[in-house]
Amino acid sequence: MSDSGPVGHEPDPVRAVDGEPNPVRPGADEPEATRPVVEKQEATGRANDEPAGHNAQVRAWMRLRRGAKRRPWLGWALVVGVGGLLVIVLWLLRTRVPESFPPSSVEVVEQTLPPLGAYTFYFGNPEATGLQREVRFLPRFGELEVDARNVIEALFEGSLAGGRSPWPHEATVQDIFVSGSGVLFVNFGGSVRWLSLRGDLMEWVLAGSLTRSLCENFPDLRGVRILIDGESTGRLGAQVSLEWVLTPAMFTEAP
Amino acid sequence: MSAHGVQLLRGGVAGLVWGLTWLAGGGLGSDPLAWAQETDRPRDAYAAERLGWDEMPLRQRLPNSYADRLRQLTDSVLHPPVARDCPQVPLTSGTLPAPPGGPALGVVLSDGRPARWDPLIQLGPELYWPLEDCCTTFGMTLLWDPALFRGELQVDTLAFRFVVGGEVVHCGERAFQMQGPMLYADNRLLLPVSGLEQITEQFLAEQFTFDRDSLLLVQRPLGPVAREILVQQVSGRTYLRWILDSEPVTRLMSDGVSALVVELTGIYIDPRDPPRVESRPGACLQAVHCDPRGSRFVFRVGAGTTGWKTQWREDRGEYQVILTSRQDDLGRWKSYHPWPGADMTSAPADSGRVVLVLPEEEVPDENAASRRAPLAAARAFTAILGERVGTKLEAAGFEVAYLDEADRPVGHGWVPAANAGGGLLALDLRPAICGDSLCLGFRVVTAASRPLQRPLQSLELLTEQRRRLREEWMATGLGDHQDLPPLPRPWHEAAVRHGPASEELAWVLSVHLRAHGFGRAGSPTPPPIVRRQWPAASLEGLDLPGAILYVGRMTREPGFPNDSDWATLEPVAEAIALAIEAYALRQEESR
Repeated sequence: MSDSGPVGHEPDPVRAVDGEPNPVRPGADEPEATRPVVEKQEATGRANDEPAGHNAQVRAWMRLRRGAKRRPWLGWALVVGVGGLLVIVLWLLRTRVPESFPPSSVEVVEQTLPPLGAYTFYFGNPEATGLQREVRFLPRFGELEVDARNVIEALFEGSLAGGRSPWPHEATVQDIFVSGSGVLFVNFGGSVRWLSLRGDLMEWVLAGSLTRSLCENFPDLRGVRILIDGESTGRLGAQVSLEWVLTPAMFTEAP
Repeated sequence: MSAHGVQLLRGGVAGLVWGLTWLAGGGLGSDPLAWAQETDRPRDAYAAERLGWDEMPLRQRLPNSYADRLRQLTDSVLHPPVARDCPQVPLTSGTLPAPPGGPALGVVLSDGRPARWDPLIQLGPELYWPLEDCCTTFGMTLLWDPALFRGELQVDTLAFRFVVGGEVVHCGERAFQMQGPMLYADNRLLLPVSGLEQITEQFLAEQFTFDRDSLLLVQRPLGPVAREILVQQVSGRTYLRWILDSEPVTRLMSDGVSALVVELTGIYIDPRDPPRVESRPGACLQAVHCDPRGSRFVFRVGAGTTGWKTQWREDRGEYQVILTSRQDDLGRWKSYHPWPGADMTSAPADSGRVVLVLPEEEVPDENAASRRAPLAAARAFTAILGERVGTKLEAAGFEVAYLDEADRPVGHGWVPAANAGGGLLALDLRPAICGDSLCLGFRVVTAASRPLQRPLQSLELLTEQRRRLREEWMATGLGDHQDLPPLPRPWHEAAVRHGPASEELAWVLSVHLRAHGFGRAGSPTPPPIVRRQWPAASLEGLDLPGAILYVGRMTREPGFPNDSDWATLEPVAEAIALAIEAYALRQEESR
């Protein structure tokens, strides 16, 4: 802030330019309200017959004080600077607080790892009396055919909780598509035919686990139709017809 | 004497016999439950016929031996155990099963997924819910950073960010603090139940409700709910009415016999408060099923139904399906369509012919000879068991037809031969193969006949098929429209008609096998007896009551068949033969 006088006024000859304190007339540019007090102090000092050197020190101090009063922005700058430093320190500390979660690192996660969806799987229970439920995370791509194929391939891998898996090791999905009426057609390779040797229970477990796993994870599906090497007639083994649209309600009871 | 009086008398006799047995020192036998079953309403007439009841002194009438117990049990199963009335509350997917023992979260969903209990994990003062269960319930997607153990749960437009070990979850500009931290244990992420409470109350309140006290999470209906359903019957017509705001998109389906499924797109139900409908003889509401598209109402249609039509009444906001049993409604100027289940007939089931289906011969396969050897022995054992059963039935006066299961993968196997001769029942005996080994115990399976358990077809399509059949019949010149004889029932629909009788047969079989000592806790041979309804293509088209009896290992001893299995062969054959006799008596009494 400049201490120069109003525009159009003659500058005071005893005042310094550029805001420097006036060495000739201390307090010349001081507000009137504070001047008597300073003069009173000066007068009091003289009245006590203090040494001249002391008076000089007092004057120098007062000059400095008056100079500070002429630059109040310095205080504000100091406050802002300290506040800024405090904010920076808090910010640095904040990134180390466990609850915090900077959005930038989420973007990193999105770029490096696919999103995971929780999928429900059904396998035969060890007692061969029913189906048991498992939930596990799989990558989710948002396309029904792709995600359904992932679910089926996870079924091929078998249970992680000791459930009975009816799938042969050579089982493959040749093709998969959704009809206009919401029925998912799954075309398996011929190795699934081994069920005729594995017993009717395994056939039901296969059909039930496939149907319930798919329809529960993808509620928009109306049902599942099984094809084997493109064939849509005959039977899967002995008990499940390939002509049926399998729905979860058909497998609500345990085998 | 009235029926009620007869029942009271029977109960009195049962009580008297039970008391006398107790006093005579027989006690409760080895199994109180089985004994109670055995002494339930004995049949004096049958007992007199079989045992010479009237001539025997009282002490000798009491069942002391296994054979006597079986005979008395045969008396008890003469009375139907299963009520076939319409359920008071229709079956929905929101019905929770019995809760498990430990702490568990009940999850009731309205999008068609079955209600379930998710086990909770107690760690310190807080209960934890596995995050995969949370994700599958809410449909969340997880972004997981395994390096820094932090993640983000995304659902709709919400993103919940968390760090393992932290108690604060951020969601956009908002955050909430849980009573416990997110945890990672046993390769699973665990969410505190307090976090579930906060998520449900603060962010997903429009979709879910959560009650902390009862630990019940319930999904709200996905859309407008059917306010009211009325079933009224007036002069031979049954009206099924829905009060709706606008004309619904509907689809009618049927199994061709007795099930009518009305699908209303965009109309939902509250799974915890399904509509309760007063059933009428013309139709009863058996089940309601919801999915993201809408809801399906499953009715059992009365036996006399001959026609159907639908109406939308704009002025009343009322959609109705009308079922009629009046013949004049099918006249030329009426708008009713013929009901596809009408005019159909089945083979008479009043003969004493029993069809026994035995396992086919094992085809020699050198490559799999060693692996298949135990299963081939199981087939042989089951075949011998079937022959023993047949011998006992023939001795009891039944006509027994032995069939082999053949051409299973391509044709209808033994079914045409079974249908050709008609009969009382068909019993398919099979070894209970479970993969590469033999299961323990018995499994009795009947063809699924309950609502939604059978493949459904469009009602319009079925009606059109029936119309063509009728026209083909008229073209033969053998009859006119007025005296049209019953049409032969298609194979794929036959099992529905015999569903209740087949269930009864399965029940009688399981009761008799239990009486032998199987399936009872504490018995020396505890293998289970499981009774199930499953889609069974081998019974498809069977026009008489039928069941599949899977015979497994009878003991837990290694090897099959071992000495113990051979020792139980005869009692098991006896139990099966007695069950068939009991079933025949039940059928005779019900006529």
